[in-house]
Amino acid sequence: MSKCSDRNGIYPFRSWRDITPMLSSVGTMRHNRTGSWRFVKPVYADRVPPCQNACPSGNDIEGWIRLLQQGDREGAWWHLKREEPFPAILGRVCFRFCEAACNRSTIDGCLNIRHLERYVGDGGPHEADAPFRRPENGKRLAVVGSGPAGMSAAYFARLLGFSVTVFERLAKPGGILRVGIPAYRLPREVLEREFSSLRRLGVEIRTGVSVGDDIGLGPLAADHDYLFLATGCHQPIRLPLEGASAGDRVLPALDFLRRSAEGRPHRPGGRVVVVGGGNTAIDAARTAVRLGCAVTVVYRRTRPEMPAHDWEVEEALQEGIDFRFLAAPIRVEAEAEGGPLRLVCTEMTLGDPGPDGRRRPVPVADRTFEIAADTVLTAIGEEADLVYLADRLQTESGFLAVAADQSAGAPGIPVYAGGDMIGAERTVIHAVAHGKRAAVAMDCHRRGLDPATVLDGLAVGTGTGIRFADYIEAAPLSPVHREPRSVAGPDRIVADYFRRVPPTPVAVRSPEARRGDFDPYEEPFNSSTAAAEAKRCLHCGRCTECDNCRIFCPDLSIHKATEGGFGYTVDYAYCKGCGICSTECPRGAISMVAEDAAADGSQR
Amino acid sequence: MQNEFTLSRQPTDGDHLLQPGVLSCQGCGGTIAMKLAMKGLGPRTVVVIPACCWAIIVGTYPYSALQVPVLQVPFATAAVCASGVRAGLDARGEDGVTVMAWAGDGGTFDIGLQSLSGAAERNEDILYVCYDNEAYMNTGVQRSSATPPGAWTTTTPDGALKMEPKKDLAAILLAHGIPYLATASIAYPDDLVSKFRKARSIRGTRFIHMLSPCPPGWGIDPDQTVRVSRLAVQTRLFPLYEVVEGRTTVTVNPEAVKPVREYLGLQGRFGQMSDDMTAAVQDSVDSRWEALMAEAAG
Repeated sequence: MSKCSDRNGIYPFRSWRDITPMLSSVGTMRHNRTGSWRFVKPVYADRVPPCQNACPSGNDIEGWIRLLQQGDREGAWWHLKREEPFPAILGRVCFRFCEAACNRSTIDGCLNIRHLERYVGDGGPHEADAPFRRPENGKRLAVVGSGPAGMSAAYFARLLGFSVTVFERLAKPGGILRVGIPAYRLPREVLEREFSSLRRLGVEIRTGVSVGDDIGLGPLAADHDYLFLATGCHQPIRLPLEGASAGDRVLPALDFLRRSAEGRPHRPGGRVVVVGGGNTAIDAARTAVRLGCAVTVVYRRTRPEMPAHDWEVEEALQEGIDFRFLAAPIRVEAEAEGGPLRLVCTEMTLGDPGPDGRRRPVPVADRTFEIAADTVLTAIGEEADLVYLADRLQTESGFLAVAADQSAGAPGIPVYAGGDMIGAERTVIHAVAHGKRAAVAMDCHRRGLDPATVLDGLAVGTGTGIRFADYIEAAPLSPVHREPRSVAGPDRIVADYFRRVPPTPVAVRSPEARRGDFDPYEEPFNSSTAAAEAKRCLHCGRCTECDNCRIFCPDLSIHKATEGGFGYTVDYAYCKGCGICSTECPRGAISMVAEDAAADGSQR
Repeated sequence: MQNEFTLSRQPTDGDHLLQPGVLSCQGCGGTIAMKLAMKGLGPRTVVVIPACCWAIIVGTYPYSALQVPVLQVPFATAAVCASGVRAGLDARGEDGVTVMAWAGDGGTFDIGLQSLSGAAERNEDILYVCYDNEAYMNTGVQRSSATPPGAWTTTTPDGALKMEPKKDLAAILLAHGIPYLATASIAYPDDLVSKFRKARSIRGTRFIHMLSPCPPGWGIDPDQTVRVSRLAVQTRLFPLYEVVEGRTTVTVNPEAVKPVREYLGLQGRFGQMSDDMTAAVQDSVDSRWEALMAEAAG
């Protein structure tokens, strides 16, 4: 038996004398290099998790959730801050494209990513300077508009060493975050804290300065090297409503929201009718409810066609808001001067699908009805005010036209733009993505690099997201072979390996309680609920050292990485290329590649 | 009873007991089975192998991929040779060594059955493991009495598929009154390793039956070995249970039960099966599961 322990020597037998007289096993079969049987080989490959792929900004969600799982809330915050400027804000108002793509929803419900982000965002070291901030580069950037796009560009450009000044028309910064999003969704102190954190990084914000009125684009360009425009869409589209001259009593929902946000709420009277089916309509309706009004939302299609998020509609219903679907207002009548209004609507029905796939509303002939109201709020969309551009930049159907690197031309100095005014998808996280791309593009311009090539190299997944971390760090975050365009979708997940754990409940204030004030209505996670929810992450496309590959390898070719290292190594001398490791990887982090491929993914 | 299928990270001890260079085909289920079995048994083990795939896989004399003593013995004699090794160890006063007979389904269900029955009747202190790939795979896929109905083999070709049910070997062995019998699957390594640990601690004849997918013989891609093993359990076609001193316990009760056609449909060897035959297999799986649950309850 003593010879059996000799497991290092490939040829322990030099002559027949070395062979034991008893017919029992000795030596190894290591001389038989079964790796020569292989046609395809496994390589450890980071795929893009679907959440990151769906995020317009390309946020590395799996990365910070992994840190959170390890109990490192501050590390998670810094990880987040590499890819986005204000986690506490996005953790409350993001439209969570990530959650819609989460593979966990095919098992037991998607991860509550936004709420986790709020938890991380609220716990960050807001006072600290970003350790990854680059030294001053001597270039000056002027940002017009302090909404999410403008502040995102300001933040990322500041990280890249630009000296940044933000010009804001209103008395306080924030743009749509301040004047559009109600306080019950985004408490003002959260906005202040995140913005003061950006100020501390050196971003200067000058409020009460209207570019166009107080200072022209020309003088601005003369004082700066780069310009980023993000003035949003703040011009409400007027509803062509007969008799709608009722002054303060028929007004755009956005104006109503702004006045409410500025602390001088319009007193809408007892009965409010909101016209429209988007998020502005719902925000206005829920704001009016909090001011003590009885609210009816009038929408010309039905609930499934509403552009507003279904969960917001659900919460609005809980708060007692009445919905009249398939109704289109045609005129406003007043009983008497200053008396109650009657909104006359025509009944609608759904016809054939339009170009956007939603069925078109069609009036039902001669079927009208009236709704009594003290105030009518219209929320049928907003437009960009481009007058201040004075035709110096190219516009397209009412929006500012930009290239893929967010550049809008160079009348004097390079101009970039983002946010609602460029007419792309109009969400906060899209605006943040525009700012991030523009910051990288202008830094490329400064360094004489081709922005399109650089942005393409930073692209993650199949969408618009980029990895800012890889741009700012000298070396990429992970030395591992990556497949930055390959998404670990549901087909790459082996659901059998995941225990069913329903989403961690989030306490929500009762509808009755939240109707009475503008306080937030979702209770935050605490350390234990956050840990429980973070633990639900499947880590799609990323190795977690779960050990499956090593346990199942029939050729004993997968070994734990040497001491201190993360992951595994493949011993290609013996791997026969059966593919079990790849097929049984619960999260799709191993690829099988042709034997002659040059990819270096032998380690994880 | 384990309700969900999750894997725990396995410690590395026991890993060195099987060394690479093994002569198995790509994706061999039997090799994964041996690797996990050795994790459960540890270094103080003697392995007795009759004619079967493993007689090849382990390597050619004087080399051996297994780092414990291995004896290659004639086809019909696994159980009796293991009994002899045990007697020799006893004569030398060696304690704490597990003697494991490791045979395929041919060497267990057919050719080695009489010597296995003899050893079980004498309650020899051996662990007998059948890694069951449901045909004589080593010689080129011939039918055995472990081949399931509806399966293609070279001796039950298309048009003459095997129609007889698979031999109920567990019932035969339990009739001998052995102290421990278990089924195990490579797709459930935690369960498998713990059963080998338990078997090591029991004296008398112990029997472990492992379903061991064979990619070339079953007509599956080599990467599907573990998946097929898992499906066999999830469809209840190969339930995981153990019988200790006559008491039956189901050790894995799959949460998501799947129809047997998912298991059958993945394998080329069942490609000629009619819908009626698939339904008959499903009925038989259901009634056997009910009988097993009744035994476990009783």
